[in-house]
Amino acid sequence: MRSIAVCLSLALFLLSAPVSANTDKLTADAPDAFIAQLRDVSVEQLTDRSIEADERRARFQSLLNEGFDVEAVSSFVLAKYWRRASDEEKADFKLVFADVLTARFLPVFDLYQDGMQLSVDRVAQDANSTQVSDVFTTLTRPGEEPVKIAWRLLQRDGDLKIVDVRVENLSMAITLRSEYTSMLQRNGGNVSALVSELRERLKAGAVADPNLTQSN
Amino acid sequence: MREFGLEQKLRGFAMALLLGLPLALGGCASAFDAESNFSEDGIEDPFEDYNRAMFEVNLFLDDAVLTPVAKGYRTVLAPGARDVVRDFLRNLSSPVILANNVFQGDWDGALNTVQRFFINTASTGGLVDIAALEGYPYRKEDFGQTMGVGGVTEGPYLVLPLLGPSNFRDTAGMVVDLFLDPVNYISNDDAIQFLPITRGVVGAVDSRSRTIEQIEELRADSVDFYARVRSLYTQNRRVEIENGDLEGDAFPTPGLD
Repeated sequence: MRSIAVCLSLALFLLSAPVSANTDKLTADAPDAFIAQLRDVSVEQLTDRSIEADERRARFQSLLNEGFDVEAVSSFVLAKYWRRASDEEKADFKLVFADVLTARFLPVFDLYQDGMQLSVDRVAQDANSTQVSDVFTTLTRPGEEPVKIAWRLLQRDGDLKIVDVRVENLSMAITLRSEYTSMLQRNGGNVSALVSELRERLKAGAVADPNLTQSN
Repeated sequence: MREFGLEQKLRGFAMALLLGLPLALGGCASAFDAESNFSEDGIEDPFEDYNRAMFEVNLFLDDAVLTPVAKGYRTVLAPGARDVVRDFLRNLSSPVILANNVFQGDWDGALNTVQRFFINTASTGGLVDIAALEGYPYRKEDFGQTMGVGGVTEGPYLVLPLLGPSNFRDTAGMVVDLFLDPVNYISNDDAIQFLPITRGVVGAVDSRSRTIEQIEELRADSVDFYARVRSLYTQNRRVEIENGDLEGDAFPTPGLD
């Protein structure tokens, strides 16, 4: 198994740079340009370690909402349990899910080093839907094997958003769906219980990797 | 009466384990409700209770034995030396890979395997993977993949004692690979009679030493580690069977599907 977590983290790190204010920085309307722009904005905005922790957190969350379709990913990973959940449970899950992604990936911003590159290789239009496309990229780091990362984009209301990330063909959405639905199946479909479990892990700091987190 | 050596006994035990377990499980498969046997991502797992228990045992052994040993191995040997270990073992597995290249009708792959074997063996006795640097990359093939290429479905997911995640198809493939491997035909009287076992142990330690942090990470933020590993194992095997050539159409789209 590849080092999925690390690669995904690095890729997200290189891509995920939100915007300092609420201004919309992701203006590109072609899939490959969108990914390249997200990468450039993130490198520009999040590699500075002197930024306050709260500010970085806010920037990351704002990226997440601008670059990712958190609603679509949330409903996908909970599958049938999403459809059965109450509006309150859905809203709760989306919040905690964004927190999980933030706690998981934000510390990786510290790992940025010179020579790290994410090159956009090609775009493939989905055969079944004109709204869907994949942007294929390669992450290269000095002294490490290159890693292939694919970004699935969904266009809705003229807006491009990321709905899945695949590291060496392992899908984040599929993996999380498998995990969350398995846990839900075992606890009788209780979405609130999943939310509290995730909250507990966040509180305990289990989500952030201590090796990657620097004191801030 | 013929005396069996330790090596043969171990091999016999491994065979019995690999062959017997799925058969024993298969016997009671029909007792389960077919509808609930599939996870949300389409993985058949009728033996989930057994699998979860075995998964816990494996995790315990991993924590207690394999990880400490792998950490020690990493401390004692420099990265270059660890690569020698890995490359040597990979070179030793060339015959099995070649056989599977041929079974899959993958002639380019077969040629690549042969070229790699000769380049590496002739240059450094297999100690350094010179071939990879020369544009002949290592690509593992096994009989589980060969069956997958031939259209054999995965069958139920299975966590094997010590060996970890697998499924019926890949377990059967592992047994075939044991028979395909010339190294396993070393006789009891040979000076190198412990090579097969040693290779297995060293290979396990080496590959574990390369994933210590990654697996810690995967485990730390998981709410259901068993399900996460099951999904990643299954996805990864599908990728290996396609030799990495998966297009986007093979994946669902959150927000649409």
